[in-house]
Amino acid sequence: MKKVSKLLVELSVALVVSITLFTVLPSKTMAASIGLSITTSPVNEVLSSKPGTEVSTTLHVQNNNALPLPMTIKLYTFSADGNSGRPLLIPATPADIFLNWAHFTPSSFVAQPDVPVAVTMTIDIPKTASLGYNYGVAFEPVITSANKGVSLNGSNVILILLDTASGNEVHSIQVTSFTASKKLYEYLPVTFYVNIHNNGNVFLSAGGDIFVSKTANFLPGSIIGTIAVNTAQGNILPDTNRVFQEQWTNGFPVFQPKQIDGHEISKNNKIVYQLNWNFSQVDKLRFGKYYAKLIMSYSNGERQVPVTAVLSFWVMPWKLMLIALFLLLLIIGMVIVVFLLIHRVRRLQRGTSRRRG
Amino acid sequence: MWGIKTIIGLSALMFASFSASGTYSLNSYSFGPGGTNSAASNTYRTQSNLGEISGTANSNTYTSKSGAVQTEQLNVPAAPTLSNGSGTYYNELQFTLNTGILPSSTTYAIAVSPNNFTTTYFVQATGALGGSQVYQTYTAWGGSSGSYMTGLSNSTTYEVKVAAMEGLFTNTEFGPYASSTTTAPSISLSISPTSSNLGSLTAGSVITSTTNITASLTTDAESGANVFVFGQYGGLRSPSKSYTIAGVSGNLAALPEGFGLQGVNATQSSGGPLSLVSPYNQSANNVGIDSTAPYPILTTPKEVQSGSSVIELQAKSANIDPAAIDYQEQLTFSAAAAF
Repeated sequence: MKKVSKLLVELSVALVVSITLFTVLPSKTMAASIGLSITTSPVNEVLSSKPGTEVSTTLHVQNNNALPLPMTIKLYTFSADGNSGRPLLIPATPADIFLNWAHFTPSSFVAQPDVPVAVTMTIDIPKTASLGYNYGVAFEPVITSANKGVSLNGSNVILILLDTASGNEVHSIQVTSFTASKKLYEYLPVTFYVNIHNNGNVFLSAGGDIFVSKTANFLPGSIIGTIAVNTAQGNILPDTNRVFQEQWTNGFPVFQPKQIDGHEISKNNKIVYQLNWNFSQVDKLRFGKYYAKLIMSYSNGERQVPVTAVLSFWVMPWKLMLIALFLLLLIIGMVIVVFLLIHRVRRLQRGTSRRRG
Repeated sequence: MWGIKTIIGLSALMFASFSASGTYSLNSYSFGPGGTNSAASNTYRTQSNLGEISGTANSNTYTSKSGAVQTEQLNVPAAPTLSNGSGTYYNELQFTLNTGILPSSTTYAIAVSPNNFTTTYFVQATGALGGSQVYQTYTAWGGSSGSYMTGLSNSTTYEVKVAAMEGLFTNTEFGPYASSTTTAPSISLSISPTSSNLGSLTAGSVITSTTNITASLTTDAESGANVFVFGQYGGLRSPSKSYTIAGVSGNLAALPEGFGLQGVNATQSSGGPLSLVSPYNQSANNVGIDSTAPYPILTTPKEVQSGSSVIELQAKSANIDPAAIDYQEQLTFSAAAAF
């Protein structure tokens, strides 16, 4: 009897806690019912101006839907999430006073379909400002949520790095590590990782090249490959690391991203590579030990400061080498067989001659 | 003292005039600097000659140099044809050489400047910009399809001009320039639809949304981009009951209650790859958190075209949860590039 009553209680509780969540159309506009699509440009920007001045930039946003979309602007700050340059977006808090320095014209607007809207962002930098500040400027459609269900919204965030060019800035970076993904490659590409640490107190960008040579002294004329590093001019936030990944692809044969109908193929979130045999590049068959020298530079506010690092790696196309060795042995074997045959025929000829004599 | 022949000769020189006629007059003449035309070493080679008229005529639109050495030179190449991909290239420009009547064996060097040649770079064989001139044939520079100069700054106007050379002593000056402007990189995010149906939550059961969300991302940001997700409440919130079924990361089948998201797939037409970020990349009833703080759910390490992912919602209620019809959440997907 107790079991039955307990079961009834549980069933009634289960019925009571059954929660109905209805589909809702949260937006005031028809556009929202068919989805949202926004394009913003640029994706990030560096601004620099001294304390006590103001600095402006123009940001563009476009509504890609067929109907007008009311838009608003929200501000975030951000830090580094890992070492890839991915921002860790942080919702604004009252402590982020610097966010109040920024204002926008217009601050809210209705984005007409396929019409870019230029928004001027102006930052009034107070005299007390120092070092750098990170702004995340989000363009977000105004959507009125219904009072039940799950509504969805989308926004694009433009990252703004503000350098106040104040006198207490310390610009300094160092190469924490410069490595290749492997010590031994069969074929190119060779993947390099450049790990940079910003040990200053303001964000910095650094650029440069990796030079590849067959000799360790990198004399002029010995450079057989040059790979640009950080061509996107990515920044390194203070007291963080950033890893730049670059590839040396100038070889024969070389693994290249597999393409179908001009599109790169990926599987399990990784690009699919295939070996490309472009025989016009046969002179770029890589074999042996190679040296790579990293030369990057950054501005310390007065001049460009170089940072360098060197590594070595091997390229051994062992399958090609085995095939070449096999062919060589085959040729040698054939020569020996032919030599022996000739020798045997001559012996037979001499034997025949003696018998006739 | 002096002989009569000497006196006559000097007198003739004093009274002689330069050659002239009704149609011309030679005002002066002189011998040019002498030299040899075979001077050379491992690092240089010169050509010079004797007895030519020297001089250069200039105007705003032309430069004319006289002498046999100058006539050996090739025609100065015309300005190249530049393209910013109809406003889509932000870190590169396409260039195509205009060779005119220059022979096919001619090699060309390409000078580039972002500031009207106050600073000049040269396109290297790789397409990157460098400090040394690189001469290649028209074919090596891409022929009629052109080639790309890379590593450029966005939103910048570049001037580009070309010099030609074919063998020794034929090197021209750089010709007139063409200019083109790189664009600013952009990012596009689409979310569809703008609501999702979870139906009725039965206590103890994991409910999956019947309407899946499609998040699409396209960007030409060289360092890639990310899509973040966050909620207004960090879970399913009932204002009338002041209760929240909290967003969680984990296996809802094993948890007493919770609400989360799960990415089903990530694809792209090119670039990327676009991939789901842990813990949103799980299967079955393993979900990633719905938090009030933005969490990365999708990422691409480089440019991506038509990246797309299907995302579903899963929720589970416990039998102690208050019944209500106003459980709600607003999820926002935000796209941001790398800094």
